[in-house]
Amino acid sequence: MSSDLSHEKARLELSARMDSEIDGSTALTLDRHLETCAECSAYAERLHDLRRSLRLQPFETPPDIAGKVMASLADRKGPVGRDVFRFRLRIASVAAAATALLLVASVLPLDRAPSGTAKASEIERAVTSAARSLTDYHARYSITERGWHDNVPLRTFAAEVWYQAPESFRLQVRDLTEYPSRVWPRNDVDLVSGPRAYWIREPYACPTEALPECAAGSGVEQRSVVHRQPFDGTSDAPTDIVVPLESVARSEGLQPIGTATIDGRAAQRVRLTYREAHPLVDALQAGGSWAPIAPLDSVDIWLDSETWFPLRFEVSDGTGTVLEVTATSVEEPDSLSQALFETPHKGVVTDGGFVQRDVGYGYIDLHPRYVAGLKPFRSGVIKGGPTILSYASGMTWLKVMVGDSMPTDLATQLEAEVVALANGGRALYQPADGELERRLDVDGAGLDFHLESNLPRDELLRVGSSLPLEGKVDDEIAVEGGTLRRLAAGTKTFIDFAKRPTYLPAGYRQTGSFLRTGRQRASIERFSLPESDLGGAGIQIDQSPSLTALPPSSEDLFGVRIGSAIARWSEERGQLEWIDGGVYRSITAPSFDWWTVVKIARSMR
Amino acid sequence: MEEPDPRIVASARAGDIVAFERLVRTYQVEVWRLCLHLLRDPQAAEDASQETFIRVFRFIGKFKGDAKFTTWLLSVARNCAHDELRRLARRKRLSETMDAQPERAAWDQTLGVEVREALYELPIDLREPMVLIDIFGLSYSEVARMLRSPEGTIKSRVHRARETMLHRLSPGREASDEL
Repeated sequence: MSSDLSHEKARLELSARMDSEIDGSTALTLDRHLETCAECSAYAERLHDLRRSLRLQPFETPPDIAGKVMASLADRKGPVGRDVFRFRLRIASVAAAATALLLVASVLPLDRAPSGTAKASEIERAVTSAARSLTDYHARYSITERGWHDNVPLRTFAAEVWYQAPESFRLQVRDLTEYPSRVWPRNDVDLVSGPRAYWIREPYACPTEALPECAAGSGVEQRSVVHRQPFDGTSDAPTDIVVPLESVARSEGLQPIGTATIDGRAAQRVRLTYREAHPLVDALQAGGSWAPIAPLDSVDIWLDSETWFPLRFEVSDGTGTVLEVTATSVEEPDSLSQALFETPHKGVVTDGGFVQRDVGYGYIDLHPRYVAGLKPFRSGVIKGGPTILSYASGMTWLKVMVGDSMPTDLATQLEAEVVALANGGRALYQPADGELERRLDVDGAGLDFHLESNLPRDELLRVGSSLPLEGKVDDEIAVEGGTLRRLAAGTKTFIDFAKRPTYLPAGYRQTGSFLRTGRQRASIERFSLPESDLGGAGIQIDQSPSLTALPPSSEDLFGVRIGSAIARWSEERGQLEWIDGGVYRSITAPSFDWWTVVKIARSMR
Repeated sequence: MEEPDPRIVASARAGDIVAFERLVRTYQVEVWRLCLHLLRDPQAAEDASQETFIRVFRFIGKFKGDAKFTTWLLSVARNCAHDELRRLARRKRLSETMDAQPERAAWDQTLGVEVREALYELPIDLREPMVLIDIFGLSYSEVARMLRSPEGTIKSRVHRARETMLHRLSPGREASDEL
């Protein structure tokens, strides 16, 4: 035989070559073997025949799994995972609704709050101010969590956070739990978000409910983002643990419920739902696997009365406390070492494409004249994309993206609120949605501005009106089979088939109104919160005389009486639909429970 | 398997139930086929497939896009199939059938019955890499990551699986052990 391969080894490599998993030198050796070995050549052909047979084997028709899966999800009324929080906002469960009712009953009325309790507006102002002045922060926390897994009912952690304004953040979580055996994955997490890069290391494990049997399938994964643009929402730092700017200062539902002393520090105690408080609650859970929390679970926060740092928070699900986090030490060091925020660039690395450089004053000055007292921070360009300017002071920041072609997409056109700016222009505004902060699209002829900031709405609009152009908004939007005509706020346009709600959830107001013409006449009205509408979906009411029957649906739906009509409720879509007076009407409110939507429907006149 | 449009995955992650349902409809056949090959029982495969998509629903927020979506989906399906195997074994129901005899009734009408039977006679540790590589077209590294085994182990297992199948499908199987 002219080759140095045995038949057995040759067949192993033939198998690998069929899978394109052979290196060049082995392939040459294999070819030499095949030149003189008819048996192995025939074996290669049989291997290919076998693969063909496997791939071509006929199948019976598989079952319709999709229908059963979607129905099964609708039936699930158990606790809701944070991993699917936004999804579940769309299908807020009846179980969560019941929990919320219990919680509402347990909340102290505002007029009975103990003396010394600050008002919600005072706390919001104080937290906003603290976020402006903070420069450096270091704290340690102890975490106790219940309900992660039946076999591990209690877990404990130590966490440490370092922060340097405006966007350097480091988080370290160490799992101190005594697990039943070593096969259980330890939930150790490291995250560093520096000015230019981001890195996270977290456990990669089987789904919690599949543990411990599939614990062999666990490990650690790392991801990095380099050339990161300023305040990039996809790799941002969970800074609400430092000062709860989003969860407390921008919340619509903040309830002050008393004062307390935590480790010798005077504290204000406030209460929110997880729906509002999740930027804080999730901050220490930026990676890894954690026990589920439902949108309407109650979150009590103890804020230091002087610094407004969160000293403690507890999450309760109506039956007991599921998560307790306590700061064991908090300090404001003079200046933290930059080495703390160096990112290792390990694991899967994504290039954000941002090139930092000074943005000059070319033929047009791109800088807003008003930036709410913030100082210029990083500026530069995205390769092949817009120019970016940013400004910051403490934790408060503003980002301005400028491009010559950043057209506003249809979803934003529909969902955003048209705002009139002081310079006479118009723009599209969107509240913070839990992932992105407040946004303002100011489109001009040949130059478009996209602003994003954690400044309050009014301040962001002032920035928008100081841009070097007057924004325009399209009032006629072409859609399939017709046109959407935007109706100005306050216009007394008479739409004969449309009814209006006389009840809306607290804080919600009309932010958009459209008349659809063409093949299908319809009225579309949008309602949202001004500052933060977590989940970002708002409330939408659609009405059309062109639809005289409810479209067929394979979902599990249940019926609710609205006047003389029977409406159907889809938990998956968070949508109530009915026919009333020959007009199709629907309310889509994915972040609400069904009874709130029914209440809106019954208020329509 | 084709990768989905990243926008659909992004929408599903962001909570778009229509996008999620599109993913289920796109991949339900492939997921069911993998479960069937691992479980060898159509009903058990259907149960495991449903559980797969329910887990995907719960954990799609964990999918960060650093691996292929289809590989991640098949990993979840594989875990669900193994859970179903354990559940069935615990209940002692079908366990002997699972270990010794494939489900025949559903396949007797098909032309590929011999190939399928030979496949189903393979022990799970050989059958699993073979199905993932030969039918689903995964690479050794993807299967190694999914099965938490070295690539060299995957290479030798898939080779042993193929040798065993060729032997079983060989016309002169009873007469000789030679291939």
